[in-house]
Formats: sequence, C-alpha cells, structure tokens
Amino acid sequence: MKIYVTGVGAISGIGLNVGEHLTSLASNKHGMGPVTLFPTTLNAVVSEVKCSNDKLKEILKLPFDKTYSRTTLLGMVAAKEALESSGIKNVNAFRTGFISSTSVGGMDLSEQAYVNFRNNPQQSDVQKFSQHDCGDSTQRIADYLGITEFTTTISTACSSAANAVIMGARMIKNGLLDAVVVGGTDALCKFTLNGFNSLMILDNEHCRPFDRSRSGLNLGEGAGYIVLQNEYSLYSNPYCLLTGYANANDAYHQTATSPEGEGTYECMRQSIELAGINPSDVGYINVHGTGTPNNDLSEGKAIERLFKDKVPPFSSVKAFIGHTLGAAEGIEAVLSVLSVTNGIVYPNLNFKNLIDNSNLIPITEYKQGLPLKHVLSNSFGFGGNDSSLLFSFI
Amino acid sequence: MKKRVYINATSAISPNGVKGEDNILHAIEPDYKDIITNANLRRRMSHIVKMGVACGLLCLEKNGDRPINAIITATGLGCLADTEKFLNSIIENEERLLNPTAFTQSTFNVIGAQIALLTNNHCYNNTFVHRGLSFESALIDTMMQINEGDSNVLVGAIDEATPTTYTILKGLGLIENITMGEGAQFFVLSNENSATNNISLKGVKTYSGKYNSAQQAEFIKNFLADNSLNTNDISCFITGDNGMQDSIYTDVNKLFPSATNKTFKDICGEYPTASSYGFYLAVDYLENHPPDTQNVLIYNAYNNTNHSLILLEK
Repeated sequence: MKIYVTGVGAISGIGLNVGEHLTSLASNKHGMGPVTLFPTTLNAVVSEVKCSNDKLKEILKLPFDKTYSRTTLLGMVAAKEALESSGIKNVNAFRTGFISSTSVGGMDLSEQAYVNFRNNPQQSDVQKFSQHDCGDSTQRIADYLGITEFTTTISTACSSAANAVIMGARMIKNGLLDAVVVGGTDALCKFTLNGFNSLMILDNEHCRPFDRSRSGLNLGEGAGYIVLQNEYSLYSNPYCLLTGYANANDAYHQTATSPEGEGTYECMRQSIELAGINPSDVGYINVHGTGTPNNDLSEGKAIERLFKDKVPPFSSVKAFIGHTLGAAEGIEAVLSVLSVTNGIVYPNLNFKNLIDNSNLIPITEYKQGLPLKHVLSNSFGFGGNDSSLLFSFI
Repeated sequence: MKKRVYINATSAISPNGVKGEDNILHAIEPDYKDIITNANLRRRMSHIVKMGVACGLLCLEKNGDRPINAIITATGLGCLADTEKFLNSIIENEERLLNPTAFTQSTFNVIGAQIALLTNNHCYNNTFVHRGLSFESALIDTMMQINEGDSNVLVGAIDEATPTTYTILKGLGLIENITMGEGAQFFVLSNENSATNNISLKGVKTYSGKYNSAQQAEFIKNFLADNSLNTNDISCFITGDNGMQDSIYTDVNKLFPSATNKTFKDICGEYPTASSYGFYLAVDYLENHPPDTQNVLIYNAYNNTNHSLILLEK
C-alpha cells in the first residue's frame, strides 16, 4: 500500500509557516540568538520562535485570558497549516488520526510553577501543573483540529517525531486509519537547556555541524507536522510518497552514540530496504547533524559504511533552526518532503574544514530544481533511539 | 489485522493491595540486585526505572529468554522523581555545575532504552506517553508489529507515585476518594503459542471525551461487533472501577449481566497506565479457568475522559 504525503506545516526560529522556512533557508538566514523566553544565567545560543505566546494565540484565534503551554501553541500553528495544505476539509469524512510527539510537554509552565510549589506545596496554585503531561498538548491540538479518531503521543527524545510519522504510516498500512496528522512539538525551556548544558554538549557559539571545529549543539524550539493518507482518502495532489522508514536501537549508551553508529546504520539501511531501492538511488540526506563531536562523527561513519564511495549530497539544517528535540523530525520531515517534491537541497551553515579522516563535505548552498528521486532524513535520540524516513518523488 | 497475537509471558511489580501510611498503594519491590546485576547502572536508576527495567527483564526470563523483535513501553507521567530532582538542582545551584544523571534518566523512553542496552537489543524501540491511553497505544503498536511479521514483542507500562504528584492531583481534585497507586507490568506478545495456553489479545479500542451511558453502551457494542461478538459472549468483564466514578462503571456493568465482574484498582491503585494491571489480571483469569472458549473484556476510564476497551480470548 502507498502512503501519500499530502500536507506540510512548520514553525521554528526561521519562520512561522512553511513558506517563511524556505525563504530563510534560501537566503542563509538563521534563527540563532540569546535566550529571551525566560531568565537564565546560561550564556547559550538558541533558536527561538520569534513570536510571543499572546501573538501565537492571536494567530490561532484563541482567547487571551486562557493559559496554554507554548508547546501546545506551537503545535497548533504547525498542525493547522499541515491539515489545511492537505485539502482535508472535514476530518470526520475518513478515519483521520493524530499522532504527536514531544519531549517536554507543558514543562514551560511547570518549571515556573514549581519555583513557588517547592517552597509551599499546600498553598501553591497547582492548576498550573495541569498541562504538564505530554498527552495534554496532543489532546488540545487534536481538539483544535476537530480530530476525534485515534490520538496518541510518542516520546523517545530527539527521534520522537520520526517515530510518530512511522506509527502513523503503519496505522494506515494496517488498515486502522485512512489519514493521519503526524509530527511533533517542543517549546524551549529551562529544564532542557540546563539538561543539555549539564551534559556539556551545548556550543556557546553558533553550532558547526560536520565541521572539524564543531563543539556542540544549539537548542531550538518549534513544531512540524505532515499529513499522511491512503489513496482512497485523497483530496489533492500529494507532495510525495513516504516509501521507507525504520527505527533501530544503538544499545550502546543512554546519551552517547556508538563510535561506529550501529543504530544509525541500521535505521538508514532498513528504510532503504523497505522502499525497495538501492543506496545509490538516494539523492539527498537530511542528516541529524547536531554539531556535537560524537553525533557527527558516528553518523558520518555510518553514512560512509552504507553508501561507500558514493555518499549522496547531504546537509544539516541544525545551524538554522537549532536542535528542536521532540519537534526536530517533524520540521525536518516537512523540509525533506519539500526537498524531494521540488528538488531542493539546503545549505549546511558554518562548514569550513573536513572532520579528520573523513571525506564528508556537506552541501553549503541552497539549490532547487534538482532531479531528486529519493530523500532520506535522519533523527537520533537519547537511549540509542535512531530513526530514518525515506520520501520518494511521485 | 489478521495474525493472532498470543500472550506468552507476564510480569508485574505491583502494590498487591497494600496501602502505605501515606494512603498510597506503593509497589512491593523485589530485591533488584538479583535482577539488574550491573551495580553501576542500578545505582543511577530511580525507583520507576528500576521497577520498569526489572519487570521487563523478569518477563523476558519467563519467556525463556527468546529473542525479542521489538520493545514498546508506555508511561502516563514518566520519571517524575528524577524530573523533580533536576528541577530542584537547577534552582538550588542557580544553573551551575549540575549533575546530568537526573536529567538523562528523566527521559520518557529511558526504561525501554535500558532494557535494550542490558539485553543488547538493536530492534524497534518505542515509547507512548498519552495519559490513560499510553498502554493501549503500546498494545496497538505491538499488534501491528506482529501483523507485520515480528515474532516476539516485549510490551509494558510503568508509572510511579511521588509525594509531589499526590499533592498536585489532590489539589486538582482528581483523586478525591480515589487511592493513588503505581506499578510496572510487562508482557511478551507473540505470533506463536509458545506458552501453549492459547491466550491471545483480540482487539484494542481507545476514545476520549465525556459520554453518557447510552453512548458508552454503543461504543462497547460496536467494538464487540467489530470482533464478531456480542455482550453475551463475554465471560468476564473487568473494569477500572476506582470507587469514585462508579456511575460510569455501574451502567456499563449492566451490559454484561451473566459475566463475572472483576475490578483491579483496589489492588494496584489509580494511575495513568493502571489498565496494564487489568490486562495482567485478565491473563491470570484466563489461565485459571476451564479451556472452553472464554472472552474477557477490560473497560477502563481514566479521569472519566480517556476510555479504553481491551479484548482477550482463549
């Protein structure tokens, strides 16, 4: 059975919609800057969505006096755009599901409320914690879209959104849904910023994926969703097909990747195998490329092992939008769909010198109109959770 | 989905109905050092991680340590104690020189990841975090994995009770007259009847929202009809009755006048993935009853908004 991609929606530090993303990517306009969303003593470079919560509510036509976690608001903007671009007017005409991912849920609200709570648990306003759990943002977005069919939430750290896409595709293939909105959303918060800082994998300067001097990642925030459909429920001309996907486990370390990128290699290999193509058919790879010494080295090794001396053009967009964790593959799936549909490859900002003992030179210029047949997209998370998606031209 | 999904092994670390002085049903824990033998790894693990990892490993052992093709976990609220520990350290140390352990151990997929690490499993690994439907989502994923050709899937659910959660849920009015609980349940589901007990998972349905009795009855009857059954075919009806939402459960119980009625939250308490204990109880019921065709239906309502139906047969 074919899985059609019919809708795309994205919000991140480089744009409030898909069109703005392409404009920024084409003009080398990144979203990096200092943290403004909350007070912090950390001197971090992050890619924030350039829009306050009130402004997001205005875009969404939501009441100003009601509180929503930023994770929910970002997710609503991108999911709404994705559903609208699919041409689906009535989500109840077919079995339309919603599968969303997040790594922090409503932590942006909880971490503020917790400051008072820890001093005085009994007198604290616990209502502020009611949006903490990951399912809360998913349910609110589903309600906003009017989706009442199967709805669930996935959280596997930085590969979460890829796993949401995979789950959605399989539910269509197994005959459980006809259409599904899949992707992820994550707001920047103090909790994750400090978590990554404590692991000493943040770069206090603009990150440099796949460059010899790379020394860490920059965090970002945002949301990205795509719409998957079977052929019976199609309303519009699909963008492309989702032909391959796989999740594999590195089973090496809770936060680090194995030197040879075992899980990375497996998920790429299995995605290509599922699509029934050869590695040489892949025209572009949107790599995970966080900019940490560990990730880029092992991802590069796995790519060289799989593609041998014919490594396709590849690049990381993390220097534009930061690492958006649970939203990462939601946003990057959108960019990969546009890549294969319009023959676009994205520039890998800040690349200057090859990594030692490697021949991997990423794409550094925005190009469009290329004859791309298949585009592979990677995302890897804590717990060795590695996923790839493969999109194919129709 | 065409393939039959057998339930070959089960394990639980549950409160066994024993309430603590804090009025919470806390899981009765085994001696972890016999199960998680790597002392360094064990030392870093919080209560929920130890509970989940140990329960998963026990289940694999009961399944004769057969190779596993997928590890799928579910948790409603995740690793709350470590989340809180890291929040406290951010505040107390003013964001300086923080120990990353609580942060890395607070990720929702840490239990599935640690089981993969300890058993050197490179297969599919996924984690569902959708409130009262997390375990049910994991079961649907499991059924699809088996339908797609996997032979053995480890699927489990874990949630922990912490004093902070208790205070917050109490303040939100969500546990008035309800006993909070916790626990871990794991299962090996398979395309082979290797346990030779013929017990299988037939179907799972989830839905959210507030519904009246007539609408609930329709959901249940439609689900049974989808599985070629009617209410008379159910020999045991297990509900998530927690003593509070009794009106929901009283009305649905009336649909099954001839079935044996069972509850489970008196044993495990209320928590987002408590229905996994109901599932554990359903398998136990089928194992200990005569071999003629038996259908067991589990109905759970979490916070009266997340509804699930799970059907097992022998």
